[in-house]
Amino acid sequence: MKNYKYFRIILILIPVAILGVLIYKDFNPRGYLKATYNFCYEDPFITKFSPHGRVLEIQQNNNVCTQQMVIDPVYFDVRLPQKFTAARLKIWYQKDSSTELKIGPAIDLVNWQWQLKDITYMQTVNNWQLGVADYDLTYLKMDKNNLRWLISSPNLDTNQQHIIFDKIEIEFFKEPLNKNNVWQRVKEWLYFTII
Amino acid sequence: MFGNELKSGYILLLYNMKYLFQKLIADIFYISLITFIVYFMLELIKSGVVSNYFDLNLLLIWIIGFGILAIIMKKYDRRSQN
Repeated sequence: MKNYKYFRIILILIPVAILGVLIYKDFNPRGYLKATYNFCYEDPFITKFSPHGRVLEIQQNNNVCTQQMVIDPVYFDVRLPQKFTAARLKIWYQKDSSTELKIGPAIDLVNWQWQLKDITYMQTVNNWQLGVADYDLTYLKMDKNNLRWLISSPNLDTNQQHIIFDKIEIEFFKEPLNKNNVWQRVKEWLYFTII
Repeated sequence: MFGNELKSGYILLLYNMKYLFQKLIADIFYISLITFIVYFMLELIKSGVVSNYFDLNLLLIWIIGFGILAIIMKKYDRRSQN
């Protein structure tokens, strides 16, 4: 009974410590964020592909979830905690070699400008083709904290082709926190979504 | 005589344990509720600061669970006092 007050202090400190961890993660001093979406579980950073109809229902088979794109273009959003300067996209897919695949973030949504890039084939892993693309995010105009991405494959439906996606992984980069950019990083982080 | 003292000591211990447990449940409930409100406000101010890493719905379920438990214990305590 006498020691209960200490126990109460611990109870109060737990959510305070969790809040500290959450703010640290959101502030991201390392300047590196990896978001992965495997179609099985919803990811807090990456939304589902849309619109429905251009992509079919997610299929689950032996703990592997896939989604088929049948009509071009398809969109998804990435909810970022702050602005990043560069991104590397890795995507696991199945498609014919003749089928084009371009992916990129919106530069300016109002003027419908996109930074579309061809996905560079790297290797095949367990029957899935792994493709990579790098992006410069310095001059992007974001919609609050949402970064909209577009997946394009022109004439996909007219050629009666399809692309199956298994996993998408996006790594975001910016300058890590150092003594010269502390205030700039704090200001950026605070102003990013608040204002 | 010694047996009676032991019995009353045991009852006192049980009573203390019950009181402590009740207090603990109430404290967890109130601290969780305040935590939820603070996290929710932060989420409104800066979208994603909490929800990108932590599911607030889980905290809400936790609060409801402990809230129900706190009410049941309070009712049970009042009934035993009467």
